[in-house]
Amino acid sequence: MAMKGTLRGLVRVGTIGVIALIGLPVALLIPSVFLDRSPSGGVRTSLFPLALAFFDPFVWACAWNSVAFALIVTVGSLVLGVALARTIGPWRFWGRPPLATIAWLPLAVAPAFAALGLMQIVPPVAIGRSLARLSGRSLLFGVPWSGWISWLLWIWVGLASATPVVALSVKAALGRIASNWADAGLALGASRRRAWRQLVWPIVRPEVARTLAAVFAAALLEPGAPLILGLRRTMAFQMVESVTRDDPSTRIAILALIGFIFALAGRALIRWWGGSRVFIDQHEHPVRPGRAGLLRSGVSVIGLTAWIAFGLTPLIGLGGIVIGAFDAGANGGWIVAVASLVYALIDPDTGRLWANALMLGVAVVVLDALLVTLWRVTLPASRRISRPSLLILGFERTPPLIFGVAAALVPGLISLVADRFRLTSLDQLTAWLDPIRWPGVLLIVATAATRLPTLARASDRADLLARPVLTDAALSLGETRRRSIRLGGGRGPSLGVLILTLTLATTSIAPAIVLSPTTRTRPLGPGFVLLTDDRPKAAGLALGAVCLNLIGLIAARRGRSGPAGDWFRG
Amino acid sequence: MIRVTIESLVKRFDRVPALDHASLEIRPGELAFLLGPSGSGKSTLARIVAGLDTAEEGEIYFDGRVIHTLPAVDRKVGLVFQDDALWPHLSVMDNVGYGLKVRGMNRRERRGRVTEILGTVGIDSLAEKRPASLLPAQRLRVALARALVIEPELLILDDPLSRLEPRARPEFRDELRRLHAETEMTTLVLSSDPREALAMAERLAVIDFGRVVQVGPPGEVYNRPANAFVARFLGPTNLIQGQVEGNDARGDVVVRTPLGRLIGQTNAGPLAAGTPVTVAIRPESIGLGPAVPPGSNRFAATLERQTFLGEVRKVDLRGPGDWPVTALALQAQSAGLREGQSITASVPPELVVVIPGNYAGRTDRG
Repeated sequence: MAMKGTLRGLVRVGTIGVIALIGLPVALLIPSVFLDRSPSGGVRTSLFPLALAFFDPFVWACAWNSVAFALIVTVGSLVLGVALARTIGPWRFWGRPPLATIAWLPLAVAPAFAALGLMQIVPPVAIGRSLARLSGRSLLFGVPWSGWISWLLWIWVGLASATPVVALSVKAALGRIASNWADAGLALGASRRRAWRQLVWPIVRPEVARTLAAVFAAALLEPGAPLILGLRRTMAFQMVESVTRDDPSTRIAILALIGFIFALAGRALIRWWGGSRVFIDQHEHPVRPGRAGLLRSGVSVIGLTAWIAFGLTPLIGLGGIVIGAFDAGANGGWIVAVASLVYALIDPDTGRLWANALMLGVAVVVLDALLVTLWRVTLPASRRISRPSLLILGFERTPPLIFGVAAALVPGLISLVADRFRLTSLDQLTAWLDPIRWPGVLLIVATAATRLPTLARASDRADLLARPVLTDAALSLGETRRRSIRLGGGRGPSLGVLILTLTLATTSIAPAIVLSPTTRTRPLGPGFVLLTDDRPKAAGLALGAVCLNLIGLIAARRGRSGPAGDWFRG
Repeated sequence: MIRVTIESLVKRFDRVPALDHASLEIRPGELAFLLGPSGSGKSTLARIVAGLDTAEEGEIYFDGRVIHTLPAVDRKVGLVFQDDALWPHLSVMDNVGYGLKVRGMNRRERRGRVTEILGTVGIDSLAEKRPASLLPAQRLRVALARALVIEPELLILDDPLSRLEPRARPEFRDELRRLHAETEMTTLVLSSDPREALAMAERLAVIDFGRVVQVGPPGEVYNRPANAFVARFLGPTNLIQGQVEGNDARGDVVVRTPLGRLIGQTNAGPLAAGTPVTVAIRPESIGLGPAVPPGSNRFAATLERQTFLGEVRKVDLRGPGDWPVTALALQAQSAGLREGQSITASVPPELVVVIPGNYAGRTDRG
């Protein structure tokens, strides 16, 4: 028994150690700010790079641009998300089932993919030229018209991606509220608006604030859309560019730290605005939506249709690019056109992207599932659930791009340490961690870090919903302990969550965008960004990624594990 | 104190009638009960009266004033929801004071009124607590205070005791009676528990499939049910099919049944000979033993089984024509009974209720 306890303790320490190791690169951003090489090649500690970046107005312009964008997306998605949830939620009306299903689809279209599709329908350069011609001036407040259009498109794709996530959390929060709480207010004479504002919204707000905090952090440092739209004066763009053009590590680390601090501060402020969660001690049976009247039905159908048009326009754009390629290549008939398109999507270049992406996804799922399983086995459910690990919480609060940038700096930092302390044995480790090598260890580790919280939380949620009485019933009938626990529902993350993790790891852009410098290790996300000169191929890849995301979301939904909204992080 | 008149309310959900021309009158200051099984339309009726739903047809009057066209705020109806519907993010003080806040009362005055009403319902020490930290009985008192503080003309309580443990119910029944006596407010309690309704109601209305099928004092409704549903719903009853033979000299109805000829009374007016009827006899109305009061119906039976229930004993009899009959006997009166024993059962005509129409089932053993 004591032996078993010791073994369990060792496994626990080992698991925590591995999880800490995965998160270590982010902590190493702080020394990376001060450590660099002098012109003579020696290692030095200096505040100069920090001061240089700190007083660089361009860095701050990028930071404030990103913050402004993230704020617009956060507030906009709040307004649209609440409206969407309230339209779909409490009323039945003609056409609701198909419209409600389609309304969630933008969840599967990552901002980068959406940006490419939207550029097809609203080309910034062409529209910018037209506006310049119409207005007689080429600039507005010192920015070209095309720049303004790009910014608007960025907001568009940001809202299209974030709104369903917010709507899901509003819907979930509303589901916990008994319908007669608002009725009690109405019976006391409150108007519907007042009852919502004073009796329902205060309960929904803390739940939604948690999602909005994640939306803010994701929007702040989502690199895909700014890269596609060419928005250089943004944090994410600058971080990716600094890593890919091999800027001094101190500058990269400072950019990452500024971004990280803004993300944390934004999260904290939004959570503060949300207030503390309201404890609800009763589980209401879900109320069947009431039948909407003619006016409400009309408004709901129009509203949902407008939202679907807004959210799916980028997807239509992607389809347009692919179909356009069909037409262009259809001299030999449509069969030849389809064949050439399919070949283009699986030719050696794109085939390599798919293969790398799938391998990355599988590696991430295996690593994360292993860690979560060890985590579950060694720590009782009550302790995990009542006191979520600081490590896991820390991972959740770190934007994927920060994981990527921090990981990208690790080989350089090890090299500096090796030089400083003359540890030649570390050179081998540096070479092994180099992102150009295959398989990209840092790429797998950083991507696994971004997906670990979702899996851990889904696992905890499954344990929370487990029914020990069913386990006891199975045990009493002579079933084995392992199978009894499975029958009781406490079996960790469901297959649906694992599939979702796989698809999201496969299609994510960050952190891979800064950790896959060569085609040898490059997965689908970064490959898509670099392929945007070849639009049909990029659009095809994007549509493939959207399909994969959809499969993941459907699988997770079928598993009732509920982490669908978490996908937005990647 | 107001008189509430509900006339022919109709409400359908997806074409299924929830209320089917439901009518009810509650007298000024009365403690009335609306009793019915789950899904019979009680809560729908309460929501319509409170202004939370609208009826497709029908009218509601308070002292002759039309109410059904007014918004909820102008109806002066206090509603205690079945699950208390306390807002979890507000303290007891804020929950109770919400109705006053909506009415624009200033904070200081509001606090005073709320403190007073909390004292009335006996929870003044809980003012700053959140609902999650309260016991079910305390939550119910908060919900009651929230409804009372706006000084409603009509107080509606939707199955208020259903969330309480059985042990806590008698105390709360007394509390409700006391509050009603103090406030003299016209009160309608919705309930699905016949015992609770019989014990508390001044007047009782029974609702089934959206129709109010009988209204009257509890004793009358219990002893003289208008139909087989009311008879069964209010407590165990023997339902026996029969046919009217005529009337006796006192005007009571003579019915031919499998148990023999039974004399009973009816609410339904004169019944022609040959009319198919159902005879309802409460188990506790049946006397067992050779001593038969004069004028009582009697029939021979065999004691098939007896079940000890504490203060009473349930006795299953097999009557003429093998018809099963259930009786309840006090312990002292049933001490000598043995299974298989032949016995004479009797029931006075005033406790035999003749209901027009044949009830499909043979008996109800409760």
